[in-house]
Amino acid sequence: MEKNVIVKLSNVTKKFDDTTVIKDFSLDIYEGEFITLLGASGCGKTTVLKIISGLEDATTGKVFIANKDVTNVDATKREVNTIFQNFALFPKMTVFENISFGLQMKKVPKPEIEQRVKKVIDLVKLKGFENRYPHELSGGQQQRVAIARGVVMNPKVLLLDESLCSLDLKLKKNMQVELKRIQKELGITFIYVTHAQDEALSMSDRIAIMNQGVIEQLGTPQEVYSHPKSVFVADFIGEANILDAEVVNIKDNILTLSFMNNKEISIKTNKSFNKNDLVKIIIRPEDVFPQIKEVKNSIHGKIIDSTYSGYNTKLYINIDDQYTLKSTISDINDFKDGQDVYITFDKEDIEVLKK
Amino acid sequence: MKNKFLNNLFVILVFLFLYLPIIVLIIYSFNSSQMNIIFENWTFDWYKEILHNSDLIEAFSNTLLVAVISTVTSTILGTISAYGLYKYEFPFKKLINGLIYIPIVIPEIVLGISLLSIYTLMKLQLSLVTIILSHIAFSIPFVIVSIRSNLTSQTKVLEEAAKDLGASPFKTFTKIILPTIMPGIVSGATLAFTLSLDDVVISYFTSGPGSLTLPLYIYSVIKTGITPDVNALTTIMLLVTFTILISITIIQSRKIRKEAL
Repeated sequence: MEKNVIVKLSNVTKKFDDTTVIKDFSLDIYEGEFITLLGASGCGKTTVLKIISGLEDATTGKVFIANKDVTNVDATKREVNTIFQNFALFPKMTVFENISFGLQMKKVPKPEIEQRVKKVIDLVKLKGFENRYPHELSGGQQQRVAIARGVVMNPKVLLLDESLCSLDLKLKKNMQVELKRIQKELGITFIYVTHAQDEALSMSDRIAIMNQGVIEQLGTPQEVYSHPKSVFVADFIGEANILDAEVVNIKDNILTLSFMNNKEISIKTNKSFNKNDLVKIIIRPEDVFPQIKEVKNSIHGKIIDSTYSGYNTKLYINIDDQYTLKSTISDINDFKDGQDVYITFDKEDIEVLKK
Repeated sequence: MKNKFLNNLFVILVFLFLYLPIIVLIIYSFNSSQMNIIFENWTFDWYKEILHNSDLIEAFSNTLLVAVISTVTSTILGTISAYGLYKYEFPFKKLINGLIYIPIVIPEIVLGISLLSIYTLMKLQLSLVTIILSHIAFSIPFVIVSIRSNLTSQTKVLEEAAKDLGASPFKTFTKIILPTIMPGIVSGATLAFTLSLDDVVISYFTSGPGSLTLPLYIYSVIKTGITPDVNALTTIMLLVTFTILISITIIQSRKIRKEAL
């Protein structure tokens, strides 16, 4: 399927005084996709959003929306809308007035305003709340008003700035589903900014993981989780055992590594390495299998701690009194703290990265 | 129960302490005796007398004129300054922000003398104009300070939201900023009006011949003892201030109720 680029950032750099917030940032965003900019606070993700919306100007570089160069176009004239972090609803206006504000600014005729507002109120399920003021609404309802206020403008792209942050956990989960539903129904592009990796993984078509103003990795949730390109990504997305290792042998895509006090492991890889390369290996906790009976090619360890979280349990396994491996298992019954275990790995899912 | 009784008694005492002098003043404005010590009979004579006292009428209208002009001017200038100080970055902004408080905290007498000397330096004839200018000068900081408390980081986000939805800077100001700072504007204007209405010290230094204001007139009259017509006059002033305050409170609370519905 041919994908149309709806937003294109090309070599955008943003400086505030002397600090560079975004460095030579390029990104193509496709029509109709749900893309997430994921990163810790201060990584520049919100600034990228503001450069797309026009609330900030790029120091250098260009911004295109629907193939038009909008680098010097004012925010008021760009066909994108933002859902702000704390919703930024106008407190002295009713729900209806809030939602119709943008249309009024565009001098849309009154009957059309009423019709369009009614349609989005149905979409976000806020019927009957038209005459309420924002402070009379719950957090989730305020969130819906904020979404309605953006989508009523029929933007080409909707920008969401940490929009679920201020909601409690249960509401957040509900709104994640709602957001996906609204996005599918409207078919418009959503650019979502967050620091919460679970939100990113569950909602996005693609995730761009940002670190210090650059994209560390861009890919589908599965790609960035299973095949992180850097230690930073592996560490940021999900949990990971990150271990130092050395290449001791290479033969037909089979890499033999020495790690954790000269223990050996063989992994299939299609990346090229040289003998004696120092590498990092990334093992997800769910790919670490502890067993009570000794098996071939297993590593001996001792359970030192465990944390229970309902659907699974995380074990902390000590190896040679020097390393601690995390392992998530679904059934705790066989294991208790202080027990000797023998570990094997799901080698298919181990990722090797050059140091 | 006993505690509750003591509490109520305490509240009553506080209110008596605050308002007893005013109540006495109002009662004595209806006293037919010339003396403020004995109460003879109820009368409206002193109120009638006021109407025939042309000096007093002139002072009263002067006061209203000064108060209205200085309130309107200082509210407009103060609103613009408060918004400018919030919105824009410029050199010495912090210093200027701090300097705003100085006219509020320095003794009025210092302000009065300094205003007088600047008018003398500029060879400005002391008149109603100089009083109005002085009142504008000391009112502006009060307006700025009371509006500033309505302008927060959340206001900045609201502005961005308005811009994002296509509102021009002018529309953003009238539709978003003005409603946000309206409580500050109202309380600032009320402050400016009441401060101007009863100002003695600064008006004393900056008034010229033919520009007597009511507080100055009262001040000059009581030098020969408090007469009942002054009581009547102050009762009217009280009435005016109360009416303004009460109507503002009613308007504000109605607005709040409307928003709450």
